[in-house]
Amino acid sequence: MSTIDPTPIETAARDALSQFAQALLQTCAAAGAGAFIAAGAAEVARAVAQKADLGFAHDLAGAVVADVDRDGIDLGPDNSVHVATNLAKFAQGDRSVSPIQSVSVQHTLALPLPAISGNYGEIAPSGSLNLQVTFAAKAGGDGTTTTIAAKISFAVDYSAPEITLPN
Amino acid sequence: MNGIDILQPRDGILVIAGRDVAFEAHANPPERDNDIRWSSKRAGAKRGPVVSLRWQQTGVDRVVASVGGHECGVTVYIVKTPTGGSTLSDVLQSEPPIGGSA
Repeated sequence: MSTIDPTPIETAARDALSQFAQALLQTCAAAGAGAFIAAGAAEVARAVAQKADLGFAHDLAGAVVADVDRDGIDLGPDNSVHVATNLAKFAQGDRSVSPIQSVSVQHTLALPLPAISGNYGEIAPSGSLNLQVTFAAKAGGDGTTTTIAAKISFAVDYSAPEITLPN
Repeated sequence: MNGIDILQPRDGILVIAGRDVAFEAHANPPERDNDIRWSSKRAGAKRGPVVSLRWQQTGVDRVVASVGGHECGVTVYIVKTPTGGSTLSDVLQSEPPIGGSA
């Protein structure tokens, strides 16, 4: 049984979280993240497309199917392109799968947003844009058709360092 | 080595239909290399330490090398791509195997 009174810890954590959230909201509002997205969209799109091309051009001949299906394939100098496959199931005749399950691209952004500061120190933002292209197969009377879905997500992350709380 | 070993390819690789795939095995004792027999359900049979096999359709096959009562084998996964290419784009457009299940 713990002898630590949780009340001061919860209070301190709540206060820190509240201060962090307030500073974050003020910073994002002042910086105008929308303007950044509009200005850099073309360059970012080109970079993401180049990474996706890298994935689609990857040579699969000679790959060990069990390894690739289990772990996927990470490509690019920073492993920012991930390919997931269903090669074994496809070759075995499972028509509910596409041989390529998905191609995912993660692109780290250099954000011009200012750092936020408080009693937790100064925290710079990190941002990422993720593109996931998913392939699904569907067997029908006329054979198998493959449908393609793409999802783009944009994330800005401010992560505070660990804070030592009173006990 | 227990009678025979397959040196290449590795077990469980992806191969492209219409392309030759090199297989190499060695017997123990080496004097029996030329007696090595290769067999597979979809790519036929051959003889010798180094042979080439080729598949025509998407599917899975087992290639067995045997000599003097010893044998070992590797599984291959075959995909038939529209142009014989092997990039991810090519594989994405592979023909499904004949008689697959939904």
